[in-house]
Amino acid sequence: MALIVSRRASELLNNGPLIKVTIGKPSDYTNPTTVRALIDTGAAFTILNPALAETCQLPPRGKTLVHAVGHQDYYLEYAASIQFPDSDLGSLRVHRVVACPIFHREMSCLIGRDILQHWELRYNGPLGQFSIQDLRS
Amino acid sequence: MISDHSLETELAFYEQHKQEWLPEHENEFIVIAGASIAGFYRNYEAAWDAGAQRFGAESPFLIKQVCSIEPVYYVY
Repeated sequence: MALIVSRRASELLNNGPLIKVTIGKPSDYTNPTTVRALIDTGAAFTILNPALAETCQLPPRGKTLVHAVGHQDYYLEYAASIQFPDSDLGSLRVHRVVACPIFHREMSCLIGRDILQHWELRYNGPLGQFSIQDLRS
Repeated sequence: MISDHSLETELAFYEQHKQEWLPEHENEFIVIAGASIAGFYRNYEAAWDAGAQRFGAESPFLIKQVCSIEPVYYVY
């Protein structure tokens, strides 16, 4: 299972590797929200904008301490269902996400190493191309 | 006990009893609503399923991994 994304090299440089994801409730995935997500090898876990968690009406399931550049704070955790439309990457029926503000208008989600642990990610800067292979059987 | 939406009641309950649970349940995921425990589970997904079945998928419940040292998460 693989996803290959080709952009202009400058676009990949400026925005990073962005993919389309849909986020919804594990209990009711009939009306998920589609957003763009950045593949972020610097994030230990997957992050949503708090507004997105609210839009998806996800009930909080915990609280965690996050150290980000220049600050640290406690943020709410949620259980979400995550799918990757326009690709054959495997979905995540119930996945822990943390709601932290993301100050970037291009994306509302950061795909962290908790999901990347299942994938092989290849990044080709000069070609403006990246690919993801889902290594789960 | 009625739980609040921010899960402060459940988190306080967890802190109160964590040392009792560590010997047998370290690294497992506990599910708590108010002062009721749904059980201990090997992964997050199984814990969510148990919490949804016991307390209701839309109801407040805490899913917490039982750890001797709370993990620190970094975002760069």
